[in-house]
Amino acid sequence: MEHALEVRGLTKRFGGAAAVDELTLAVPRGSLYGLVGPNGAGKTTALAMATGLLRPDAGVALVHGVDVWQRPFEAKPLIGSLADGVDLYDRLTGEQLITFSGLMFGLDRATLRERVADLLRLLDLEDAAGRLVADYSAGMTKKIALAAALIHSPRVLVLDEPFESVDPVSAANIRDILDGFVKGGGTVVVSSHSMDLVERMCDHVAIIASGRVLVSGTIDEVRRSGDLETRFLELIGGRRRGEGPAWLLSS
Amino acid sequence: MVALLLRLRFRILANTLRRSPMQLVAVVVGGLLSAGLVFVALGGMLIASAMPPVVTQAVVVIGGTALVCGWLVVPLLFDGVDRTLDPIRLARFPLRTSTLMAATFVVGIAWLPGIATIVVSVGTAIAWRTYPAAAVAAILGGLLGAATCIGASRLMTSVAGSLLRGHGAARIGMAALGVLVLAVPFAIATTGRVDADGRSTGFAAALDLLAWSPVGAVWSIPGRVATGDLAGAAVATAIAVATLAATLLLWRLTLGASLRVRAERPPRAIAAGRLGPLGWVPTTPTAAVFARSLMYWFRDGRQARQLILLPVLPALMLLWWSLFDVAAIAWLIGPVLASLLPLASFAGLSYDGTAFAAELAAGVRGVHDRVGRALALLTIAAPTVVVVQLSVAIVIGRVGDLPALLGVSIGILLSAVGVVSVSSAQLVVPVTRAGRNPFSAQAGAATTSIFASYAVAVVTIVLALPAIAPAVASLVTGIAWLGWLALFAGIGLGAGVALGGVVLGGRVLDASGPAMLARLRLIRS
Repeated sequence: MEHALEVRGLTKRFGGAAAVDELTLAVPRGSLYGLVGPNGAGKTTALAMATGLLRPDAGVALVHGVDVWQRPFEAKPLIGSLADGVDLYDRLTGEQLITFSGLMFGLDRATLRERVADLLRLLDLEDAAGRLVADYSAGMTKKIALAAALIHSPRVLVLDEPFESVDPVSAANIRDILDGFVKGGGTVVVSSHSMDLVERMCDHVAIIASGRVLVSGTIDEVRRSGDLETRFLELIGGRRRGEGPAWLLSS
Repeated sequence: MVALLLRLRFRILANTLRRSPMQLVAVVVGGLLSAGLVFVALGGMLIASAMPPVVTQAVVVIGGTALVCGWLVVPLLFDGVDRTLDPIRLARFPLRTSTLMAATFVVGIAWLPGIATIVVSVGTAIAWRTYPAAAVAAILGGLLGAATCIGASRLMTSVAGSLLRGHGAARIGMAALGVLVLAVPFAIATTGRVDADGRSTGFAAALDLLAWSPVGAVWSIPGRVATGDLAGAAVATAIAVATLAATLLLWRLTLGASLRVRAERPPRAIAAGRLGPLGWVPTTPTAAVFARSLMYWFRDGRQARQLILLPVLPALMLLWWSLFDVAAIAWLIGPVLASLLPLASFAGLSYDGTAFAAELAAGVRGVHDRVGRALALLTIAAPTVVVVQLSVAIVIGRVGDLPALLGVSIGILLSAVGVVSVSSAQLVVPVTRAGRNPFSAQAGAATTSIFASYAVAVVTIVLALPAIAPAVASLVTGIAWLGWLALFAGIGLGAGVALGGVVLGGRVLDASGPAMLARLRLIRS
């Protein structure tokens, strides 16, 4: 069976340094796949290349067997992408922003109206629907971006740090949405810094550092006997023992 | 503190130049161009010095007035003006407003345009070299004039900045203030002109009024000294000093206002369910881009700022026309207006910033994006150009020349839309990101964007020549069929260029989209 998302030998260099270095990963259909890694590991860069936002120097990205860079206009409607580190069209209201996204995928009016209402309700954004996205808090901005990624009912969701600055209630709601999406046959790829969350939510995980996959597989395969965080620290290293700088609390 | 801020500014400049050689090239070219302009201006004054005092006075006053007006208008026209010391960015440091003002003022002086302005202003002494007393007055007056230029530009930058960030009442208030600052000198000039017995006195009367107006008085001082009109010189000096003081005071007020607007940003609510154009356009990607683009022209302060000029610019130019009675000024109104909005978006994706990722992720085809944006622009610009051109033709009493005037304007509008459809698929210039991003202003950006827009303007003019040439011929000779030829060429060939630009731009964007996003990301971070 073809994978929902498959990248092979994905490479991106900025200047001399490789941000992503021959990264290879296969995400099975119907999985909730977590990507974890330290800051600067190349997660965002890799996801941007896999979703057609950043052209790789080398390597291929396939979504349900469709090459993202050879046939972008066929591949992109299959993907729902929440990119990290990009702005939104924030002079639109939340409702307008999701509608805009839906229109870009050519959804008809009736479908659009129904889905916009659903998404606003599911993500607790009904009260903020008429406010400019520029005035949203960080968490609300994440949620509206997620809504914009879901509107066209993609087959693969690629979410870069979807839980960053989202409150616990909304995070739980988002997880429900993602669980439902996976049960309905969709596939989710999330990157996160939170081991805990990935461990509880995902069924597969890959640990990435320096632009490479260190280990990947089902959660149980990766964490072995311990928990994910222990395994992560073991693989990555770099823990510093001791206290912070002496002046920090010297009042 | 001022010295520290000044060092900071040049540190940032040096770092930017080191990071991007293109910026360095832009700065060098900008420097050469400035030097060239200064040379031409000084040469002009040398020639003027050999003329009778009346002519010398006319040259200096008109040139000086144009200089001040230039400094007033440029901050409104171009984004990417140097905002290294944007007060908003420095707001979190304990700085007095006056310190901040002094620092931004000095920064304004200590760079190419500022240096060039000072050299030219003080250089007015050359024009008066045969009158030693007047030459001394010219040096002092020149310094005063240069200070007025810098102060005026800072005032307008501050006003423009408030327009970017302010909302609702604050934005309207600021816009009104901006228009007022621009219009007052001209309003004074016109009221004066009516008293001065209409057009019969012509040029001399207009010049006289200009020499008494706030923007012109400072340049008239040496001429008055030269002709022995010491009382007049004293009054002109008083007007000049008062103008500078008023400019600085207004600047201080807008600065305070802009800081307050920033601090007390109220959440803006538009009722839920109000979708604007997004609610009624067809459900296609092109229509989505069109609707969003159209909404952004009004809702994004950086673009809305250009819309302010749509009524202001024709009004000012008509005023100039009525003052000097040169038909060419009136003929230029339509073409200038037609090129205004397209040129403002010659690197239109820069305004989207990284939000462009949404379009890229949705797989919107380049040609759909281009068509959507072009239609949004034309929705605003086309009716404006036609209405203004009609009004102008009626005001100047040349209704018969309407085909020629409309032809050249529409030709330029459509050609410009075609050209920017291609240029904006490749060009990214640093624009303000709604004051959010501390200390990342790109010094020298103004130079880059001005050069790129020159190039776009030149290409547009070349492509629109089939409409421009017969229109000019018709206006000059009065042959009617040439006017109709211009109209058909303007609409027909213009539409061709627009269509070609949209298609070509779409292809370019399909190829360059991801690279554009990467560059937009670079500017953002």
